[in-house]
Amino acid sequence: MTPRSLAVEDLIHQLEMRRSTADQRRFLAHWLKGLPSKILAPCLGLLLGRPLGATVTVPALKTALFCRVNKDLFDASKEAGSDLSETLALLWPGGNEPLDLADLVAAVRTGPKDERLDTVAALLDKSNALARDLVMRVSTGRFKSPVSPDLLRSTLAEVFSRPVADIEQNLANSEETLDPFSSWLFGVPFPETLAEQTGFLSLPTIQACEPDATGGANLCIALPSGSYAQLVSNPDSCHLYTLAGDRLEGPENYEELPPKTTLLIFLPKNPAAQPLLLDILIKDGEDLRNLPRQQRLGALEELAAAGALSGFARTEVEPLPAAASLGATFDNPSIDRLFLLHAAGTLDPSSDTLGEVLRPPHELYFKILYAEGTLSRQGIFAGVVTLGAPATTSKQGNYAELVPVGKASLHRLSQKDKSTLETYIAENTLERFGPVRKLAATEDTSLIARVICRSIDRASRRKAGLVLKEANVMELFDNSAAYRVSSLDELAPLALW
Amino acid sequence: MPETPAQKKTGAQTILIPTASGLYCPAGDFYIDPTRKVARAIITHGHSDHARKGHGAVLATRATLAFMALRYGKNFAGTSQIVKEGETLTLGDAKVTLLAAGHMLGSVQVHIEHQGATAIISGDFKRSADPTCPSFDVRPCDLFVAEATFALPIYRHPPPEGEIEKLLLSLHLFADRPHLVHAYSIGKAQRVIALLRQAGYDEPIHVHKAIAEASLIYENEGVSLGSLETLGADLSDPQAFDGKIILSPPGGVAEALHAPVTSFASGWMRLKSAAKSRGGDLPLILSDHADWDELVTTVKDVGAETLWITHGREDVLAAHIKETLGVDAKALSAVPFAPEGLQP
Ligand SMILES: [Zn+2]
Ligand SMILES: [Zn+2]
Repeated sequence: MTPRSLAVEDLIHQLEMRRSTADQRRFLAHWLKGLPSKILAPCLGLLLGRPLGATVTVPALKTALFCRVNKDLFDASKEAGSDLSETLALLWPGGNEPLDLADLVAAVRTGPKDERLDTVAALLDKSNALARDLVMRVSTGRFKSPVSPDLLRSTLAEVFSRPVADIEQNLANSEETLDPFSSWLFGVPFPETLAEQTGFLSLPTIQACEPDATGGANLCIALPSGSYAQLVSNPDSCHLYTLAGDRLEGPENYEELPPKTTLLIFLPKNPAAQPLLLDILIKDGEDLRNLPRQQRLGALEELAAAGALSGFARTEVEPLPAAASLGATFDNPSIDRLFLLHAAGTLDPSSDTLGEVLRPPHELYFKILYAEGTLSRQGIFAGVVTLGAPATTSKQGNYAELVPVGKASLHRLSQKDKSTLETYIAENTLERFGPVRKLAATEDTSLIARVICRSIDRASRRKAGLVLKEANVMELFDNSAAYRVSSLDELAPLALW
Repeated sequence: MPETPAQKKTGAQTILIPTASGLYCPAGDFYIDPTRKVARAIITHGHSDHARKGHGAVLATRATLAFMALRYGKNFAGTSQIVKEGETLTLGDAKVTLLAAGHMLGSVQVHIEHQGATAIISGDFKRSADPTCPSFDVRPCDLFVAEATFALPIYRHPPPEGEIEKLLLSLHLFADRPHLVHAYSIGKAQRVIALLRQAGYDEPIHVHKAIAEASLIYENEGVSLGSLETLGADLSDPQAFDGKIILSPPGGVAEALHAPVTSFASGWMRLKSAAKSRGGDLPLILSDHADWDELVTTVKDVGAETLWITHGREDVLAAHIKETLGVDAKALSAVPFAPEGLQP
């Protein structure tokens, strides 16, 4: 029972009803995840309070309403309704369809002026009640965004795993229309074909899909060499969609896909999608499916070594990432060496490669030097922390010399860890500068943060000489758990020079 | 000699007389949903604004009598008699048939035939589908007495499935919090449960004691509501209800629950102002009363020449019906009371 994605009028309604920002954030995040890029720009425009401009007047809408409904009914109802837009919307006969915001934008922005009222009326005629209310408010310039720009920016950052600063900058650069922002966010040129429109990579070369002995599916991708490999989606960053006619459906469990289905694979640039090549089924036209798996893995390894898997970086992963979930799918404990193939970057649907190669993320441990942000209504700290590392690996102590190495986001932390952090911040604040709190970070302080960061950049102007990029605090540990804090000595070789 | 339409109309209008105790049928010598204690009463359904205790003899469906016994105890009336939906009884000179009203389990319209003229008292009713009761039985009549709580054209209920989806979505997004849904303990609560089951939700649902008791009557009547757990006194365990649905009548569960998502299921939630002030985090537009469109459709469907309207903005509906359908429509309160002496 997966709840359907939210229509924009339902989202607005929920945002208007929920009083807490934390609640609003969850609705926004859910909605953004199910949102096709095609309508991202107009929706964001609405939510950012960039009105489309009043294009029809209330008296004109009233006149149009009275062609449909007796004026007496309006007079009798206007006292009872919450506001004028709502009264008009509820009285308007309407239909059951959700709002297509793109239709509305087209109607109010681009249509010929003297036809706008007719277009808006036609939209009202087919829309459901909440949608009609939104159309009324938007087209008459009465709509006010129920969320703050800050909340929207930070939720976008969270959902698309982009730094807030990048979101802000790109929004600022998209004053006129948000289309450039949308293209930037989805990482593909803005609309033409469906694949581009939705920011999904089309892989029409998938050849077959059949359940294997372990219950997993043999989902084959044609690799550049003319070989085929098995693809497993990484549930964190890769979702599989199906294309049936012109309808995009999904995310789906790929095990249920019929053969010859065209798959669209959602590969967000950041964090990089991480398709795992687990197996090779067909090599140069030779069917390897009856060979022992060990031999097939050998064949895959050869291909990778020969560079035939162009566009993929090859990393042996040990221990297996997400071993638990893979185990559940494949139930094969003999798989102990796998290739974690990282692919990301600008996606080109016409090319066979998956684009720019990214390195695997770093897993590191740090102390927390500063916390920046605010306590939410639920008392949960929302914001970023500055991480600190000692210059050299020390057995004990010397934490007075912790050097800042960069900021990390907290949105991946569990609720439980968030409240642990909140208590920690409350007990260890040394000084406050506005929203920034300097925390005691010595050998006595108990908290160690497990951090995943996409890359480490060289930064000559910083004391540490390097800076973490796209770092996320994943987990918090007690000092006693014997996790060693990463030192600058260890970080330096990881930095991209 | 065949009756002329004028005679028939007059006939229908004499089947029922408004009195201070409620609608009275002189031909059968009984009241419908009387507001004061009377000798003989037909009760349309188990809600307390219709089913009162202390009448001499009561006729109603089995479910309605069960709800009355639950609320008032066994001796809620001198005598009571079960009437099945669709069954016709002769009471004095009147023939009386109870017809499904679609409002809640056991709810009926009262169809009265006297000297060739017919009147129907709708009782509370709705037209939209409800998995907990049979739907409104459309029968033609000369006089239709319509309950019209939502007699304003802005009241147009959305499909209930969509509202239930909202609840399920919230449950998905806020799986770390209890979902406290306020709904009246007889009727609305069970409809919410049944709609949840229809949508595929088969987790146990926690219910207030009053809802649990009423739900037993539903189970007895063959309406399956799935696994229900009655709320105990202690709700303070912060984790016990996370991700669970708790149904309670308004005011039934105090603030003991830990950070609940609160919801109120009612047709009044249609208006944002009402939803904001009373709907909690998650107002659900779920009504067991006909909305404006259903009211107009129903008047058309029964084809009555005369319409008496109770509840809501009777004036607005009456004027609209008069103008669009040419029906002689007025507020029940505007129908002259029985002359002195005619009431028993
Ligand atoms: Zn009722
Ligand atoms: Zn009632």
